Parts: sequence; C-alpha cells; structure tokens
Amino acid sequence: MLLKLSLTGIKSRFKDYLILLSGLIMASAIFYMFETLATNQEFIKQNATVKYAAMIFQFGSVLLAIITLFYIIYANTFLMSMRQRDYGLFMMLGAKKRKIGRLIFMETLIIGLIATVVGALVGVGLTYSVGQLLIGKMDIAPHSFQPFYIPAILITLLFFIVIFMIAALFNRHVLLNTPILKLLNEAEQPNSKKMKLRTILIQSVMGLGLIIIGYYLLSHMAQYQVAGLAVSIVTIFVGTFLIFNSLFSGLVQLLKRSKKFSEKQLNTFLVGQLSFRLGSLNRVLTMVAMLFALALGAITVGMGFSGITDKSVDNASPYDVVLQDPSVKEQKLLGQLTDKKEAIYATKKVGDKRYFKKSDFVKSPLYMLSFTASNMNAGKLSKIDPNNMTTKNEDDVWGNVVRTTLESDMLDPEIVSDKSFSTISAPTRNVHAVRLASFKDNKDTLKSLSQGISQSQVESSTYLMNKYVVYQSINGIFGGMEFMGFFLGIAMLAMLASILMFKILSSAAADKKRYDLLDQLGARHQLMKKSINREIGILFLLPGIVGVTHVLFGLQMFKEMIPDTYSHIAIPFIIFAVLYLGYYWLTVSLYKGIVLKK
Amino acid sequence: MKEIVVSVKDVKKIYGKNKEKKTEALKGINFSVEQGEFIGIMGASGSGKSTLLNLLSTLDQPTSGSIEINHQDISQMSGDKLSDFRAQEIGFIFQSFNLLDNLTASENISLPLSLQNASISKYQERINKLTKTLGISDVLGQYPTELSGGQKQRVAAVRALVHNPAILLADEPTGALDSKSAKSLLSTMEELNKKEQVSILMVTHDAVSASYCQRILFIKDGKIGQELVQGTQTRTEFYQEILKELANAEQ
Repeated sequence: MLLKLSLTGIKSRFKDYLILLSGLIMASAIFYMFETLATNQEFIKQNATVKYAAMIFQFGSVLLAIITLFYIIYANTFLMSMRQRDYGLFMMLGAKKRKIGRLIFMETLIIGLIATVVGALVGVGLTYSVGQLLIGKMDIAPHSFQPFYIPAILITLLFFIVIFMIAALFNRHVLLNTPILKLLNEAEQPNSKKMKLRTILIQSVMGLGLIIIGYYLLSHMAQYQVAGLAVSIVTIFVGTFLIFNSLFSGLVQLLKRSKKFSEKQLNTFLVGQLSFRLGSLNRVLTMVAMLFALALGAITVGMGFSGITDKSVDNASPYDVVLQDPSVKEQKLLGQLTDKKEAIYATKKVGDKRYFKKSDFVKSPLYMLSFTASNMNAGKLSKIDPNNMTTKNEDDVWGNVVRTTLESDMLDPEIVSDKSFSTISAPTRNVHAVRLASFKDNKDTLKSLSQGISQSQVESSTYLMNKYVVYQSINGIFGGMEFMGFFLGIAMLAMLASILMFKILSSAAADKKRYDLLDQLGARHQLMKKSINREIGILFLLPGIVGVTHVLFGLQMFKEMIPDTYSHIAIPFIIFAVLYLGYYWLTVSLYKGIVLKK
Repeated sequence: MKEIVVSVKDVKKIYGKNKEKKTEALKGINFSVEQGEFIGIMGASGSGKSTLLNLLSTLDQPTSGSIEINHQDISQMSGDKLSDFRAQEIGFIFQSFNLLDNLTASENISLPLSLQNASISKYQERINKLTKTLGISDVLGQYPTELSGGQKQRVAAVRALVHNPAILLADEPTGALDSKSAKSLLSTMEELNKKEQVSILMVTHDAVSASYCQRILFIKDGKIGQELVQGTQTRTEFYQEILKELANAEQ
C-alpha cells in the first residue's frame, strides 16, 4: 500500500522527477564520456606526445569524480526536498518508520540505477557523436578511440552505484532522525546575510590579491615548476571564492542603492533575487567559474596545438604542390585549385646533372623560405634573383633551393640559356610549382592530388612536394592532443552548465510563489520574463567572465609550448560561447515553464 | 448619491469543461460598492466567497455577467491589460501576507509603484503617512522573515494602498494574526476607510472582523442571501446581530 502511495507521489511530480533524472543521466553520461578516454591507456599512449598526458587524465578523472559527487549531492537535496513532506505525512498517518526508511532507500537507489544505466547508454551515443564530429572537423583519425569501451562502463557503473548507495543511506538516516513536524513544515528560506562594507572591501582585496598571485605563478611556470602550478590552483580557487562571496554581492548592493536603477519596473525584485542567490550560490558559482576556466582552457590549448600544425605546414615550403609532368587527371585537379599562381620549369637530365632554362626563372622567380634564430616560427619569404643563379659552388643557397624544391633526385642543377637548353639531347620534363593563397581552402583537392600522384611519376617515384602530406603527418601528432582538449573541454562544459542549470531549477519551485504574487500585483508577463532572462543571464555571465579571465591569464603557462598562444583563441571562445548560450537558453525556458503561469 | 466603484451584475461562474461534471459556484450575484464603503462578505466554506474574490481580483473570469471596477468592465480585458489593471486599480491583502521574502519591507511597499514606473519620491509623502498610520516606520529596512505577523500584514496593507487603488480587496486579513494584532489592524483599516475614504471589500468568516464593516453580504450556495447594515448600531450590537444571522444560517 505504502509503495503504491509513494509511486502515486512520483507520478504527481513527474515533471520534477524528469528534471532530476535527466540531470543525473547527463552526469553519468558525461562521466562515462570522459572515462572512455581516461581509462584507455592505449589511446593516450598513441595520441599524446606529452608524457604527462596520462597524468593529466588521472587528475581530470579525480576532478570530474569530485564534481560529480557535488552534483549528486545537489540532486539528492532536490529529491529529498520533494519527498520529505510526503513521507512525513505517511508517518503522521501511522506508517512505520522502518518501512518509510526502506522506501526512501529504495527510491533513491532505483532512481540512481536508472540514471546510471541510461546515462551510460546515452554516454556511448554522446561519445560516438562527439568523436565523429571532432574526427570529421579535424581531419584526423585518433588511434584506439572506442565509443563503447567496457572498462569505462564498469567504472561509471561502479562509481555511481557506490555514490547512490551512500546517498540512499544518507536519506534514510535523515528521514528517520528528523522530527515529523519538521518534515511536514517546509524549511524557511534563510535570510540573505548583510555584509558590512568593510568585510566586503577586505574580502574583495584579498580575493583579487590571491588571484593575481596565482596569475603571476602561472606566467612564470618555468621558474616555479609544478609547485608553482599547485600553489596557483589553490590561490586562484580561494580568490575566486572570495570574489564571489564579497565583490559581486557588494556590486548588487550598490545597484540596490541606485534609485535610478532600482525604481524601474521589476528591478528591485531582480536585485532582491540576485542578492539572495549570490548568498547561497557563491560556492556553486566558484566551482562553475573554475570549471569554465578549465574547460575553455582545455579547448583553447587543444586548438593551440592545431596552430602548431598550421605553422609547421606553412614553414614546410613556399609551394603548396610541386609536380613533374602531371597526368591528365592531375592537370584537371590542378585546374580546380583556387586562387593559385602556377609556375612551370622545364628540365633535362644528363648524367648527374640537371639543366633548367634561365627564361623560366626570369618569368617566375623561385621562392624560398629562410630561417634565422630570431624567426624560427615563421620563415621569411623571398624571391631568388635569376641573375644570381649562375655560380656553381655546391654550398650555394640557390642550388639547394632548386634541389629541394624542383628535383626529386637531388642532382646538381645548372641554369642555361634557352638556346643551350634546346641543344641538350634529353627528354624535357616540366615541373609545375603551385603557390596557393590558402592551403585550407584547397585541402580536399590537394588530398586527391596526393593520392593519385605516386603512380604518375615518370622519372622517379619520389613525390616532389605536396603540403597535404606534410599536413597529414604533423596533424597525426598534434591532432590527438587537439582531440583530447576538445573532448575534455566539452565534457567539462556540459558538466558545469548542468550544475548551474540544476541549481537554478531546483530553486524554481520556491520562486514560483514569488512570481505568482507578482502576477497578482499586476506585473506584466513580459516584464517577468525579462526579469528572469536578466537574472539567470547574470548568474551565467558572472562565472563566464571570471572563467574567461582565468583562461586569458592561464594561457601564459603554455607560452613556451605553443607559438603565438593567443592567436588561436577566437574559434574556441566562439564555440564555447555558443554551447554555453545554448545551456543558458535551455535553463531559462525550463525555469519559465516552472515559475510562470501559462 | 455617491460614486460606485464596484458593480457586479448577474455574475455566474461554472467550473468544469464541456464534457466534465459541471459545478455552479456562483449562481447570479448582484451587488455594488460605493466610494468609501467598507463592505464585508461572509459565508461558509464552499459558499462561493473565494470564487467571487478571484473574479473581483481579475485572476479569474466569470462565465457570464459583468464586473465593473472604477467603471471599467474587467470581463472584457485580457493579458497585459488585466495585469496593468491589477497594478493600478486594485490593492490586495491576504491571509498569508504574501510579501516577497527577498525584498525588504520598504521594497515590498514600493513594488507596485515600480511596476508602473512611477517615481517613488513623488509618492514618498504618501508612503510616510501610511507607514506612520500603520505604525511600521521603524521596520522598513527589514526582511519579512524578521517581522511579526502583525507587522507583515501592515506592510502588506501599505503595499496594497500605496498606489491609491480604486478598491482594497482583503481576504481573511486577520486569519493568521493573534487577537491583539487583529484588532489593531482592523481599527487601522476602519480609520483608513473613514479618514482617507478608502473603499474596502473584505472576505471573512470571523464575526469580530465583520463587525468593523458598514455592510455585510452573506453568500450561501453561490447566491447572496441576507444583507446586514450597521447603520446606527454600536459595534457590539452589530456583532451580536452578525452572530444571530450566522446562527440562523446554520439552521
């Protein structure tokens, strides 16, 4: 009978349970997604050029476990807040405590089990689709990447079942040891603590100071090594908390005092909501901000590795593709290249010498890249003056450039007049050297060219030059890192945004009363919607701003490893912003669905 | 003749959609409230008082009939118009106070003004006068959870009156108060009614509260039955009459 009653209770609050379940399912799915990489030693070994990669993943694993733990604690509080009244009522009507204890235990465990199993399944799908998306976008095929990975499934199941077991015991304990009257009366909303101006100032200054120390340590990684990293993580974490605890509450109070602002429409209400929330959400917001920084940092650093790939490809040669006697098919492919400059150099081979026509070099001078100690990352592009291509010294620069650019057999080149060239009795070969305005735009054509080329080489099977091949080999090294960065970043983003969303939604039931009241007092729906958009917007924006700041300074850590650390941040930032906005939108619409009358 | 602020004509309210079982909560109600009148509505549980109050407060629409408040037919309004109408013409006091717990007393009070984008400094004099009359000048900076029940209800009363509504709707305003606070609140309402000419419509089932009214309508089974007028009686005499009427209604 009791079981039936408690099931009816669930049915009547199905929508709330749906939110709870979907939150837990997401948590388990993300946990699984991360574990597919973290537990896959083979994948890490094959794809990571950095020897610390395995360690990074271990660290990430522990971090994610802690976050998940917090997440489940929140979710569990939400569950208890829904149920304790019902169970209190049953007890008041004479149900035995032991029986009630067993019911809440079972309920928590069953919800946990459903969430874990469904989550792991969703996780397989998620891992597969995110993996496919990244592989498609990045043009790489990571080795040993398996969306369905048994060890990850086992770890996910084990971890979640243990946690839910503990949660179930905890709930049982709470229910059996709380007086019935207290269960029946909903907990009163605590007051927002009013902080003294002096406390706000002291905490803000301390928080900022700690964060600055952290930034300083990060930018001097070479000097302070791992100890510096550890200390900076702690100072930034504590500093961020102090900032959320003091500075933002202080700013909200300032807003409240400004009559010009607070007297308009629902602004007083908005500020009241915010100061209440900031008081209770400061820990969550701190965690979200830190996760935000880690996630965005992971993606940005990952993309930074793609910067290395681009640089290396750029520095490989001034030419994008160099072909000798292209076949009809290849000619056609060459014709498809956009925005190109094609130069053709005729050549004849006699013994161990290779002859070129001077007129070809006058018509289109040969390009070269030169590197000096000061510009190791970007070669200096220059043209070779054809009049200088006469000396026959073996060490001559021009000779080397011709050998490496236009020849496959590394013979000594000699530049002769058209007349002399025509008298040499040997078959004429034509070397086509193509420079493109954009390698990326023509990547697919270059890829096709690289496939057909080896068969058509007449004189030598050595392929002269195709940047795509260079790109492929370098991308193989750094693409794995990029893939991991993206994967990690997206997993963390999903987690942090879910936490924030969940925390906001779990207070929606209590907020509903306030919005009902506003409606009664004659607040227009449009006005309430605007107020909700703003309120949740600020709750999303604050950790976002802090997170972005952390990333911008934290990138200093990688300045030795990644050239032009900051030149590639636009794309990851945009991707991140779009996903984050998506979560914001989802949260706002779910929240509105709960608090506003239709 | 005095101006009429609320006019209810042949109002019916039927719950239940087409195929469901229908319940007729109000079976044709007629009455009006004059400017400056303090009117009480009494009735047993299920008599239709709450339905009537919901209709008057524009939170629900009548099935048929018309309700005019300050010469505007509210059964013809919808959406934003209704919201604005509530914000401008109606003041509410509820049994459960219904203060926003995330705002201080003074913020709660100025909320109706903010909703209309009215300048609070223009109304400052009125706020000061009302808070003084209701004796809550000292607690304006506090949050509702820090106030006693009586104080909360007074804050709610000021909030209901600050924008000078056409009518004050009170739903069991003393229901959650101890007898001392209840008496003091009722006296203040009476004072506001006499001095400020505030029109009040109060729903109650408490005879003591009702004895402060000038006129009482008894609702029974969705219809207005008896009507009592205080007239020249003292409050005690009127109270006795109400008790008698209630006893009659029981039989």
